[in-house]
Amino acid sequence: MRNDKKSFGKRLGRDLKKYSGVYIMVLPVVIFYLLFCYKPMYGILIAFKDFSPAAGILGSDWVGFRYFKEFFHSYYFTRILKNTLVISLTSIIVGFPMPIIFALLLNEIKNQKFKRITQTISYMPHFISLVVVCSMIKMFTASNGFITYILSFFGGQDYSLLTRPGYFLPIYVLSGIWQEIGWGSIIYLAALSGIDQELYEAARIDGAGRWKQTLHVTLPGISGTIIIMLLLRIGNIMNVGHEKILLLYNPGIYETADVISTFVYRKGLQDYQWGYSTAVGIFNSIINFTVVMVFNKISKKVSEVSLW
Amino acid sequence: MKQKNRSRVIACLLSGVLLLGTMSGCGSTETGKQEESKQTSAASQNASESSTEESVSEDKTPVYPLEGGTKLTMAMVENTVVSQRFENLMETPFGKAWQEATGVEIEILQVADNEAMNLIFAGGELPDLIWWNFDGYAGGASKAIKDKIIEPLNDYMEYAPDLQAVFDSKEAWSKGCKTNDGDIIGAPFLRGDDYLLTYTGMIIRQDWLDDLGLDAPQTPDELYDVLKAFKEKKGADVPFSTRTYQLQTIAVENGLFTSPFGLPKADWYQKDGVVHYGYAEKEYKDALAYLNKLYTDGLLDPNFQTNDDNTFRANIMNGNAGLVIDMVGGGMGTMLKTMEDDPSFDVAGLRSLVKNRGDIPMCTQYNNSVTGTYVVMTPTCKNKEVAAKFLNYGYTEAGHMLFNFGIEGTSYTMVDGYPTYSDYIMNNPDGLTKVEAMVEYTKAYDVGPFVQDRRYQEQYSNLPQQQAALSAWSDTDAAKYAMPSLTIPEEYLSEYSSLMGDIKTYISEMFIKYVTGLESLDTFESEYLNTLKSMGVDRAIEIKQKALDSFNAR
Repeated sequence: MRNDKKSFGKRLGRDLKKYSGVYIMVLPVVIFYLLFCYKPMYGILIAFKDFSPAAGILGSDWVGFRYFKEFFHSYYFTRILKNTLVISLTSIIVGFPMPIIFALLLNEIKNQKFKRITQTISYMPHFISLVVVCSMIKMFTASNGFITYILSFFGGQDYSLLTRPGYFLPIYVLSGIWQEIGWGSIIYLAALSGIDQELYEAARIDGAGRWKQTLHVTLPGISGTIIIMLLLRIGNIMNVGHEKILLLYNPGIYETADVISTFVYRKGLQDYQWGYSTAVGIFNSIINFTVVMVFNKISKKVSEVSLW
Repeated sequence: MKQKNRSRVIACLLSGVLLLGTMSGCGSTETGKQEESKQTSAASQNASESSTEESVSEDKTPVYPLEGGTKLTMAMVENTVVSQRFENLMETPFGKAWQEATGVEIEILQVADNEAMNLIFAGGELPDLIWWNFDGYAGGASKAIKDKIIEPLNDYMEYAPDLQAVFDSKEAWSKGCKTNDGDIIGAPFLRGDDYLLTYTGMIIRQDWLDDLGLDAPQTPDELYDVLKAFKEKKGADVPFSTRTYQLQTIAVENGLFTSPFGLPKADWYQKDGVVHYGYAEKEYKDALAYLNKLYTDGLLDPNFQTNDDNTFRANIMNGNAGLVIDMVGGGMGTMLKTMEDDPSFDVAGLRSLVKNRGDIPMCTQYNNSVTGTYVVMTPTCKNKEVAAKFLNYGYTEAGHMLFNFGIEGTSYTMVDGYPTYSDYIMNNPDGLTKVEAMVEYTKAYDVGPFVQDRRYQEQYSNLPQQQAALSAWSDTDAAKYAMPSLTIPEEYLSEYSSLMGDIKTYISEMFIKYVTGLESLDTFESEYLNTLKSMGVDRAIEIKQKALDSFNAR
C-alpha cells in the first residue's frame, strides 16, 4: 500500500532497476513502433494537402477537406461503400466460423495419421500465390470452365461466371474460405489442445453425448480465442483486399465488385492523387477503429474477454 | 548471483540482435542515400571543375566529343528488357558508345518504377538529368517545372542547334514539347514519321479467306458475313476473339469499328479545332449495337471480359478464332514465327471498317508523334551548357544513326544508302530476338532523346504480312481528328480529373453492359447520355477545349 502512494516516476525507477533485463528486451520493440508506426503518422497531413513530392509535406498547399468532400460526393460513393461492407461482412459471417468448424472436425478424427495428412493438405492452398489462385478461378469459371460446367446442370448457363454481378460475391467468399480454412484452423487446434480432458470426463459422466460435449465443453473452452480472433478480424472490416478484387473484377461487374480500394486505385493510376488516396485511407481507418472499439466494449460486457 | 548475471547478459545480447533486426529495415535506404549523395557531390565536383574550362572557350556550337571530361548524373526508370542482361543503359555497348561520342560520362541513377521516381523528387537531391515521361507526375511536366524539378531548355537552346532544327521542322513538335507558358520541357522522344504512329489493328486468318473465296471485309456487314462463315464453315468457336482492352480501347475508342456509323472514334477527337468526346455522342449507340449483334449471334468471344492476350493469340493460332486485334510485332510477328512450320497458316492486317466499300476510314490506332517522354535538365544541374550540348547529340546526324541503328559495322551497315541492320540483329546466332539484340546497340525499340526513324520499323516488322498490315492499318484520316499532346491548364486540373474519374468508370461499365446485352440499348438516350450529362461531361469537354485553345495559341 505504501507503493501506491509513491509517485509513478519513483515506481518506474525501482522497476527499471529490478527488472532491467526485461526492459532492455522490450526496448527494440518500442523503438520499432515509435520509428515505423508512430513517426510516419504525420503523413496523415497529406490528406489535407495538395501534395507535391518536390515541395514535401510541409511545403505543399493546404486544401483542407477537399478530398474528403470529393470522395463523399462521388457518384459512386454509396455503391463502393456498400460493396466494401457487403463483401467484408459476408466474408466474416460466412468465412469466420469455417476454420473453427474445421478444427472441431479435425479434432474428432481418431486416426492420427489420417488427421495429420488432412491437416497438411488443408494448409497447402494458403501458400499458393494470389495471382495463381485468381488465374485458376478465372479459368474454372470461364464459359468452358469446369465449375461453370457443373453449375450448368443446376441452371443452364453457359457464360463466364465472372461476367455476372451476382456471382462475384460467392466466388470471392468461397475461394477465400478454400484458401484459408486449413491455415486458419491452426490456432483453434492449438486452443483445443489446451482444454482440460477432465472436463470431458465429467461431462460424459453427466451423460452428455459428443454433440453436447462440443457445445458445453469445447466451445466455451476456446471461446477466449474465438473472441480475440473475431475482434482482430473485425478491425479489418474496411480493408477488403484490393489485390484479389483487382485480379478478378472487370467493368461489367463493377456494381458488386468495385470497392473503395479498387476505385481509389483506378483514380490513383490516372493522376497520382496522393492526397485523395490518403484521405480515403484515413476514412477507412477511422471506421475500422470505431468498429473495433464498439465491439471491444460489447465483448467486455458480454464475456470476460477483450483486447483491452 | 551468477545465474542472474548470465540471464542479464543473454537479455542484453537478445535485445541487441532485435535492435539490429529493426535497423535492417532502414539500412538499405540509408546506405543508398549515402551513395547517392556521394555520387551527386562527385558529379558536381567534376562539373564545377570543367565549367571553368568551358567558360573560357565560350563556344556555343557543340563539337563532339565535348572537351572537359564532364560527368553528369541521370535518373531513369529501369527498362526490364535492358536490365535482364545489363546493369543499366550505360553498361550496354550503346551506352558506352554514346558516352564516348559525346565526351560526357553519365552516371545512371536507376529506379524501379514511376513511384520510385517520385520519391527521388521527395528526397531533395535531384540528379543533373532526368529521363522520364512526366505524365507520371501529378500535374504533369508543367507542374514539375513550377515545382522546380525541371529547368526549361529555353535559355540553353543556343547550345542545342540540332534540337532547335528539329523543332523548327514541324510545328506540332515545337508546340507539343512546350507547356502552355511556352517553356520547352526538355529533349523529347519524337516519332519521325506517320508510319511509326500505327502498330495495332485487326488481324484476320488470310488462309481462311482464301479457302472460302472471300475478299477482305471492309464494311460491318461484310465482316459479319465473314465471321459467320468462319463459324459455320471453319468450325471457329469464337470467330472474333479478343479482350476488353482491345475491344473497348482499340476497336471503339480508337475508331476501328466506328467510321461506318459516322463517329471518328469514341475517345477525345477534334474537328476543325472543336473538341468532341465520342463516348458522349449519339452515333456511339450504333457502334455498340453492332458489337452487341456480334455478341448475341455468337460471333464475339463471350469470355472477352476475362481473357488475356495469350488466350486470343492461342485461339487464332489453333483455329478457334479467325479475327483478333493485336500489335504488328508482338502479336502478328509472334504468330507467324510460332506457326512458321505450318504452310497453310497465314494472317493479314485488316483496315478499319467503313460504311461503303472503297471509303477511307476516319480513324485507327494512332499515337501522337510527341510521346511525352523527355530527358530534362534539373535546376540543380551544375553544368547546364554542357548538359544542353549533350542532349543535343541525339538530334545530330551521327547521334540519329547511333540511337536508331547503333554502331556502323557492328549492328548495321549502309547498303545503297539504306541503314541495314546486321545479322546480329535480324538473325542472331545465339537465338536472341530482334529486340533483345537491339537492346545492346540502339534505342529505336524504346524511347530516348532522339527522333525515331521509320527505317527501324521497316526492318523490325519486315515480314511481308507485317509490312502490308502497317499499310492497311494506317490508310485512314486519323491525322485529321487526332488531338495534339495537350496540357490541362493547372487551375482546372483537379476538377477535370475528378470528373473524369467517375465518367470513365461509368463508360467502361456501360460499354460491357450494352455489348453483352445486360442493358438494352433503348436506354442509351434516356439513361446513358443523361447520366453522363449529370456527371459533368459537358464541363469536361469545355475544359479540354480550353486546353486545345491554349495549345493552338502557343
